Amino acid sequence: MISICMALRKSLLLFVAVAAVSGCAPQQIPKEALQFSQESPELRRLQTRRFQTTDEQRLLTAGAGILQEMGFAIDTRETRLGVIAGSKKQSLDSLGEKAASFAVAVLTGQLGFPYGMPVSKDELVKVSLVTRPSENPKDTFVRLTLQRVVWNSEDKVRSSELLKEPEVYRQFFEGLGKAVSLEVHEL
Amino acid sequence: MSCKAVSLARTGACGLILVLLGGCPYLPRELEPLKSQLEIVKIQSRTFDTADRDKALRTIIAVLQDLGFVIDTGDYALGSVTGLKVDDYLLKMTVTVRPHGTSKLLVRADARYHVTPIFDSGPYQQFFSALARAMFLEARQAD
Repeated sequence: MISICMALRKSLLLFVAVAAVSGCAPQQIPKEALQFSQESPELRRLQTRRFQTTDEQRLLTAGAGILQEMGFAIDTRETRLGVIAGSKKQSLDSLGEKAASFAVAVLTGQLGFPYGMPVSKDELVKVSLVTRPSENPKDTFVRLTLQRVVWNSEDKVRSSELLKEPEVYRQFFEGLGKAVSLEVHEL
Repeated sequence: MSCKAVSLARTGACGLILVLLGGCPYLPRELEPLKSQLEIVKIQSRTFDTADRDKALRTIIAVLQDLGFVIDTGDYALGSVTGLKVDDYLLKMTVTVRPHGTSKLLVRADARYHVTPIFDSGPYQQFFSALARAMFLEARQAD
């Protein structure tokens, strides 16, 4: 009876080990990756403003200036397509995360298996600024898109996401409106 | 009796392993049937009944943004646009536009999931459907 239990236990362990290393983690492109999501129109509204001008060059130049003020380096620009792309990498210093990591280390240390919880270390924010003539021949659309990748103290990607905080977009477009002395229209 | 039980347990474990491996949606690249270059071109390309290259490139940029991409590079002379999408994964999409005859454009997309090139037709079908809707034109298989 004991040997049956042992054999079953070994089988179970083997199963778990194989499950862990069998490569069943999703390796295929997610189905929703290239599909319009329900939040696509909302995202477009968040990221886009309309300006009453046809001068795309002026909007791009002013926009590049604001991005630089926000700490971005301009990596590429193609004004004939109305595209500017930039990035900024910075160190993160979250006191909250460090305090939590310290607390976990103390707690697990007392339990006899000390564990240092990794904390956020660096972030890379990528930005693209795109201008596009509106259906109304007097207007131009400007769309800003921001993505962030965060690495932890073990140099592993902790999170990667599209930035959806309205405040960031609002601040940029307010600055752009002032820089080109034009009213900013939401969609 | 106990020997039979042990044997049964072992068999069960092997069976579970096989089921587990068989159920994996991912087939290692070495085991995938190789696609010819012609098949890959067919999967990645569509033609559109327009000669307006500028509008096509700008529409591609808008579609990529609607799909959650950040535009990484754009090159008017080459007719090329690259977008990056991060959402707990990395997806890179490079799309090029070039004339196809006198009245059509050939659009070719190349998707990379992390660093792996994608040769499945599904993702490209999704992208070209979105592009066709945005261009108000039909995406046709290249000749």
